[in-house]
Amino acid sequence: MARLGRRSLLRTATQVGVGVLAGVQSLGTHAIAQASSRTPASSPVLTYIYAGSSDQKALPDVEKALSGLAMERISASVKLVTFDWGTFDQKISLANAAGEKHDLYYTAPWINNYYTNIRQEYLLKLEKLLADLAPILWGSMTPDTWDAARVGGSIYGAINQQIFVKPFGPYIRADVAKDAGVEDAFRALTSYDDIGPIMAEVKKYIDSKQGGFQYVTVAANINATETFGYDVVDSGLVVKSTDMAGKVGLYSDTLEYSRAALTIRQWNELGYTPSEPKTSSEQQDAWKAGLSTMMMSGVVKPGGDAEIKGRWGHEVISVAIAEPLLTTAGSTATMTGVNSLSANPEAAVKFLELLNSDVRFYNTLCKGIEGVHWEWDDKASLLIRPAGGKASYADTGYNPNTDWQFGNVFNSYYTARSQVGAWPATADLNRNARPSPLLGFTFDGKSVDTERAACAAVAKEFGEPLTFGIVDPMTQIPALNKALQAAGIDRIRAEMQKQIDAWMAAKKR
Amino acid sequence: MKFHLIGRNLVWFTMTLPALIWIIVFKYLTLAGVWIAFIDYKVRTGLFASQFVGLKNFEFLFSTDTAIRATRNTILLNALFISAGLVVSLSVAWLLFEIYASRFTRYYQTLILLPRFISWVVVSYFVYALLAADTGVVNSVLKHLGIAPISWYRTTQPWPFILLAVSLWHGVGLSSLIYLSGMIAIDMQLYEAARIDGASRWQQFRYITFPTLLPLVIINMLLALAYVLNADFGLFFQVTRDQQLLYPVTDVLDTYIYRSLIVTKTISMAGAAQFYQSFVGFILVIVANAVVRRIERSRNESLALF
Repeated sequence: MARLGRRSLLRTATQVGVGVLAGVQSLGTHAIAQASSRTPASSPVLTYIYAGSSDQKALPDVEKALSGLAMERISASVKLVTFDWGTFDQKISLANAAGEKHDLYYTAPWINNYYTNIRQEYLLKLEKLLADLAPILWGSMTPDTWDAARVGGSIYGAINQQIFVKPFGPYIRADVAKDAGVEDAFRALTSYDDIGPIMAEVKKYIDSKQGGFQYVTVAANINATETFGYDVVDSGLVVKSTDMAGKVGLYSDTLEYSRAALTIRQWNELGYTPSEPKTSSEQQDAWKAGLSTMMMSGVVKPGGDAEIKGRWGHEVISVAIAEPLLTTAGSTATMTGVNSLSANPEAAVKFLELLNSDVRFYNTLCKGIEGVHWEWDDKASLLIRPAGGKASYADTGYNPNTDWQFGNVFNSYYTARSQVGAWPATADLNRNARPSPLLGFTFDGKSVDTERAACAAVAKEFGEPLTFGIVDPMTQIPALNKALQAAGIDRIRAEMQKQIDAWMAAKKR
Repeated sequence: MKFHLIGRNLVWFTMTLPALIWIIVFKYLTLAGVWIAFIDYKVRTGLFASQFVGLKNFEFLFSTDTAIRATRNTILLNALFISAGLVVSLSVAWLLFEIYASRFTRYYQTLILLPRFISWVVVSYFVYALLAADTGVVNSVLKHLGIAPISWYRTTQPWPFILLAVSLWHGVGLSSLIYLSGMIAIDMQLYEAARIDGASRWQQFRYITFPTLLPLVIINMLLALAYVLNADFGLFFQVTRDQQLLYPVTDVLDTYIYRSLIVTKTISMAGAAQFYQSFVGFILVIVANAVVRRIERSRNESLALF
């Protein structure tokens, strides 16, 4: 039919349109920039874009309160812009591509890609500004940690102090663990292989219940490489956490991957996982609706169970089975960048300093206004509760629940009794974690983009069925690796090894 | 010359102006964006200052078996959709035409047009409700009949036909409407004369309806050819639930491009992919149109697009 491909046509039109509009606009923006530089920049308005749910009714009040505080301290006011999580990536890309003049925005390797933003020159170099204007923020992390954000010698994002390691592990609903009698066994877990027997008990329990629960777990995850002691760099290429020489290998070619894939295959055959893979939104829905009892791979962090309860409404128990590993990706998982087109970069960096050092300012953004959205429960232990006897923070009209997106979470007030003490414990975890041999290394994949694109397509096709355990690993892992080879994984590996060797040599000097 | 025509019809020409401007701005000025496919495009550096890289952005479209398979699937599935779509929508239009006097006709028209307005995401859940392994309607029926249920989302063979059925269900309403409007325009006296001469319904279709509609059919075919390397992303991504085990028959260029570039997010490579799709379509339309013109000359009637 003639209408095939109208959508893709629309996509081209948009892409090209954006290009042309951006070109046209850049002519116009010079004029605007000149005009605005003439007006006194005494009190700039800083626009800060981040991801969240946009139904925060009290956002204007919070914005006003923050602006008041910011005006006092850095003579600037604040405009908060929330893009929904589902559309954040697209909207912020478009805003950047169109050359909008917002000042600060959220960026990370996993959403609103940091490296893409750097390549597209959407981010401002920050190291000098941070050292000059944000001494507290700059001093709050070690040079090693800052190096994780360094690309081509420069830092383009302010790292949020939070959990940098990813001690992955399974979650189980507390009520199920108790009723199925697996709580003690679950808490004693140390490896992936021990989960099977617990699942068997849970399965028996679910079957005896006749309804309610549908799955032991909706998804298993074997791509959380830290679980098996690997630091993943790009395109499924990894370095073993104990290998100080930094030899690059293919994750799907490791013994650990094969073993994990076989384990999951067994789980699927025993009916622990769905016979047909669920999409990620279906996985979340199933968990939210209480159809599933376990989650296989979450970051098990101090205070994390309370965060899960806040998000999904279920009391959970979690156990870390991965050795905490400090990696580049983990350290840069949440950052705030300054737009390279920002008219007020100095003010923006001062805003970052304020956000990361002023406890009251930061918590106003994270939790809302004292007495309106939250009140003290136990001030001595920095514990708060929803204001005015409300049952939950969501009822107060302001509950972004993403402290880690905004700044130094160690300054965040605790929202549940079980969370108290989580920040010092997190700091300990970060401090005592084994640093990956590649901590601070970032891969520049530009020269092998063709191969990366081809490998991404292959990895998804073969990798996902393996992750869900719906195919036989004995035939499909070799098939995956063969397809990756054909797609040019070796060229990526060679390029990566070259960059790692150069980086290590430079580090030794 | 014909300039006096413009003067006489100035009002009408003025009325086309907004549309003309729209076409010039959004269809012709934006053509400069094709250049994106050949450079390492940086938005803020701009179209003309970014570095030229030749055909490098196109490599991922040809470098692997997966890419070749996607191209093959796109062409074969489109060929299937275009030919089946033509037969089915002509038949449906003919059926509607035969009962055109009935007062229910407009309800039928509306009913077959309705699926067109359902988004692919919703359609994907319709299909899932039918085909889910454990809870699906089809498997329940199979079980009742004592036939072993089929794990639809893990079995490749039926999918070209499932997609065809869904695509027809979704699109036939609109395309048959176009043919129906063509049929209504046919002079009824021709049919009366044919009936008096004793022509059967099939003969009436064969010798009156089809020849009259032929220009319309050819125009539709030519337009469809332009999109032969494009696939409806919603159909192939949503309706298949992006199930990897189905890729051997359902992975088309659009889904392959999406899957590849979601990682690298290179605008230039996306531009290259779109340019490749459009360019092949362009060449095909030019060639097909030339062929039609040649036929036209031998038959002495006007069929071609331009």
